[in-house]
Amino acid sequence: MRFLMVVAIWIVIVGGLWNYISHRDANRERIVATTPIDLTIEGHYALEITPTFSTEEDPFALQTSDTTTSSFEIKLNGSTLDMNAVEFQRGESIRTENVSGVLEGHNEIYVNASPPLSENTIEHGIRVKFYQDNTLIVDRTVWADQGAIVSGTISFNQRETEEASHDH
Amino acid sequence: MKTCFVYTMVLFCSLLYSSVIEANEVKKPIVVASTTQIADFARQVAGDRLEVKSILAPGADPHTYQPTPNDVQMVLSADLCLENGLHLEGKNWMSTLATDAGKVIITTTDGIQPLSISSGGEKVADPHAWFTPKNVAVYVNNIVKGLVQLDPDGKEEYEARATLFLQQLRVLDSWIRQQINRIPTQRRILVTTHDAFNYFCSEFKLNANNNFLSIAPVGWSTGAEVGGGMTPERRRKVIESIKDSGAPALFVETTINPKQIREIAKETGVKIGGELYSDSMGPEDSAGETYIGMMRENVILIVNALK
Repeated sequence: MRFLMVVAIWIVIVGGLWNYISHRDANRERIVATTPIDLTIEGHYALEITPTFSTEEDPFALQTSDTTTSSFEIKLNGSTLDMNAVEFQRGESIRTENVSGVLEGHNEIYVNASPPLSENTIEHGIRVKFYQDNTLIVDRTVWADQGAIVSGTISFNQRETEEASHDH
Repeated sequence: MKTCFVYTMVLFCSLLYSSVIEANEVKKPIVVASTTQIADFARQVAGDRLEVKSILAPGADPHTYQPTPNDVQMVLSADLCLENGLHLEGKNWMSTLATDAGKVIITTTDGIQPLSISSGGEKVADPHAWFTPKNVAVYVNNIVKGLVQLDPDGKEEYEARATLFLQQLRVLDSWIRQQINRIPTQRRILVTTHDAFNYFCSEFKLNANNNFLSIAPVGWSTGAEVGGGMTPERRRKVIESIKDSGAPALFVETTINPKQIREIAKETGVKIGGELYSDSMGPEDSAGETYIGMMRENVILIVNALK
């Protein structure tokens, strides 16, 4: 009789514990990441960058099968912009037209580049200009200490113009 | 009723205990590295996702090391083995252990252009490649590839950690150049116990009068192998070169008996500049317990003694 009581109490406790754990996990699963609402603004955007250095192969780059050894990376709101790093030369501006992915509200341009090691006694930087319909809306320079990677995020706010919103 | 309650509590506690034990017993893959440096590089990439072990203890000499039965057990438990290669591990003890245990082994120096040094009339590759951060970037890339093959699900994690470590190496490289630049060029003479600092001297331009290579009484290996050990000829050359060069200080190494270099210091009247980390990093809780810490402390010691 006693043994049966022990088993019964044991089943109640374990059942309760199991019930609690399974409900707790179920609650966790219900938290689903919300899909960001696409607030992309249409319009003609262009990006122009001017580095103070020429890019070259970086001995400190991560070299995996799907990672390029490019020492230059530029992203708009997390999406990589296709700019050929091989062509970058000191002081030369490179402009990319028809940049898409500008959002209403907060936007970010991320720049990451490795100046040549032979120039590690010079402070390097990259000037970033962003245009909307040929009007300059961002003009910032990201600087780095001697020998360090030039890396930074440029934030800007963008509101949809009345003209653009009528086009929708 | 009291007995009933006790039984229930015992059952409940044992159930709880077994579930806790089960949760904690998620076995991580094991990576076994031959040296403390390689273990540190692997830890920087693996984080807590894998268990990284080093066969050599801090302060042990890889050239003369004799594997123990415990090392055999460690390699048997490994999912991946890492070695330096270039004959750093005397008589290739690490690759022998891994091959005998049927384990995959990665030579972390693959892809490095080794310095060729002359020893006893023979040209040998210098194994101390970790003495430049640029070479360590190659070690790290080889380790990332190995870990991704072992655990493809961890690829993003490994690459993220490796990217941070590579950036730290880049900053370290720049910092070393800045620090070495504080030493007047004619005083940039690095004399150490054995030929471990060739890559360092070559990259950061020390020992101009020795083609930017190490000046040391003992060859590249301290073991009884090709290039190993001190010869009277080497000792005589070192004493002469110290006297000729006017080296401001001599350095002992953590892994090697300092007796010889102290005798040479006495003979030449040159002070001992301190103890450098060379073939092994420092013990736990020391400044040299990581690669970056080891290099930082070495450079500070060298600059303070030579400037």
